[in-house]
Amino acid sequence: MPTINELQHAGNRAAARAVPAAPPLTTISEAASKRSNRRHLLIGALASIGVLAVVAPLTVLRVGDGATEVVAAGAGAAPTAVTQPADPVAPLAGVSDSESEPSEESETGSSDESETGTVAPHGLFGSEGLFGLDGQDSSLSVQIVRGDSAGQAAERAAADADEVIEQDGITVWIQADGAEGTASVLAEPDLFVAVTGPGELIDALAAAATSQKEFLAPWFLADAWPEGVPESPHAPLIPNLDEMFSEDLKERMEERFGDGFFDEEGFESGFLGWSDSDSCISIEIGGSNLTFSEGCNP
Amino acid sequence: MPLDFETWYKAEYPRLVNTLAMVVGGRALAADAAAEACVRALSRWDRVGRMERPGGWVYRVALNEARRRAKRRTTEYRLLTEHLPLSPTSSPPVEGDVELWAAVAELPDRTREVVVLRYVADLTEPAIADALGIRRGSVATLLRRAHSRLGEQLDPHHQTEEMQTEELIHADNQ
Repeated sequence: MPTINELQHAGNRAAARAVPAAPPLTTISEAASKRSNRRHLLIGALASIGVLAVVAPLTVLRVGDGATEVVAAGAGAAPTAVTQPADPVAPLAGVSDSESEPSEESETGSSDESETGTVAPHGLFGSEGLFGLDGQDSSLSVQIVRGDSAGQAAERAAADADEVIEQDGITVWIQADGAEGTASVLAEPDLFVAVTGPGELIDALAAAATSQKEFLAPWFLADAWPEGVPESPHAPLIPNLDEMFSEDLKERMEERFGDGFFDEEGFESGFLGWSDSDSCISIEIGGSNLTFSEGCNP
Repeated sequence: MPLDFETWYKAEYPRLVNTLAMVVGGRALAADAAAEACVRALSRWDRVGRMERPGGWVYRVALNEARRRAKRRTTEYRLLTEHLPLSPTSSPPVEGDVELWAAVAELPDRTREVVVLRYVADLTEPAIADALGIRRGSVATLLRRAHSRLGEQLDPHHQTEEMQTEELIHADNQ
């Protein structure tokens, strides 16, 4: 039996084996810089998906024509029939790889075949959702503005804000209006995300934004912290996408956006494919329906 | 005082590549995943460098990246690389340790990962727990099992503590 000492020596010999030359530090630095920029975009994108999945476990059902998707949402509800969109659309299973870019939705083929999905019993953060919201009674709007309009949208949000939260260099504007409120953030100079929903949700957002978990906390993602890594102000900031999303949601989103969507890179390229240029995306959740659309007015 | 990235990078890169290669197989893949993990580490070094166990974080990222890349490899790509000539760095394990690492390779995946992270990456048990996202107690248990299994494989006359105890009890009863 090898002793611990023998294993350690063997391990050190294995570790010292010649490897291809390490990439120059300048190469690593340049890539890291690019990655930081992309990451800010990713956080904004994650935010909107996180919001959607927090509010209601989702089952993506259909891809809508005219860049509109309708999905069923709801916690623990019976399978929900989705209102037929104006134009019949192809079920997700029929979406080919070439359609993985969301911006190409309007060019996809169509089918009358209807699909009613089983609502996922467990959502992103467990069966009870987050903040006690079950998704059944909540109406939520997520607006993502890319490009030059993002700055203008942020200026308006700042002007309308009742509360401003500064967190790790990110400013979150809170606008509360009784039963409804809006939380907005300029995640990147050209990326603005605003969430409008029930007052309690926005209150929770504001509370989360001031927590110690920095950055992702304002967008509900703190619970996705990698298991086993200490939660502290210096905790790593990579969300473990595998742990964040329910298997059902992952499967269906990957069907829609392509294999590997839930890897960071796939997520970035897939989700941000919606907003390659100056554009605005609106995501509406109401009752058991959830709608993505492009072309909203920022 | 945060760890200096350049110092850490130069010291740890070869170990990182060798560790990944032994966990996921394929030195080219390991080198790519290691480089990507280092990029991610540098982009967050203000936090990673202050961590109690930056190695746990980096190896976790690197292992995830290596597995992701391995998963994404197409059959065609695998076939292609299989026919490429081996690079000088694709050498077998260090002479004298071939039998040992062959035995390690026979271990169940998670056990093998723990062994490689412990003895090749030279991570502490808490850092291994961070890297694999498992409890520290599980790391200790897996290491114990690994030692026992390696003993059985490398030494036909090896007896685990449990076996020795059973024999003693048996002898006493007689």
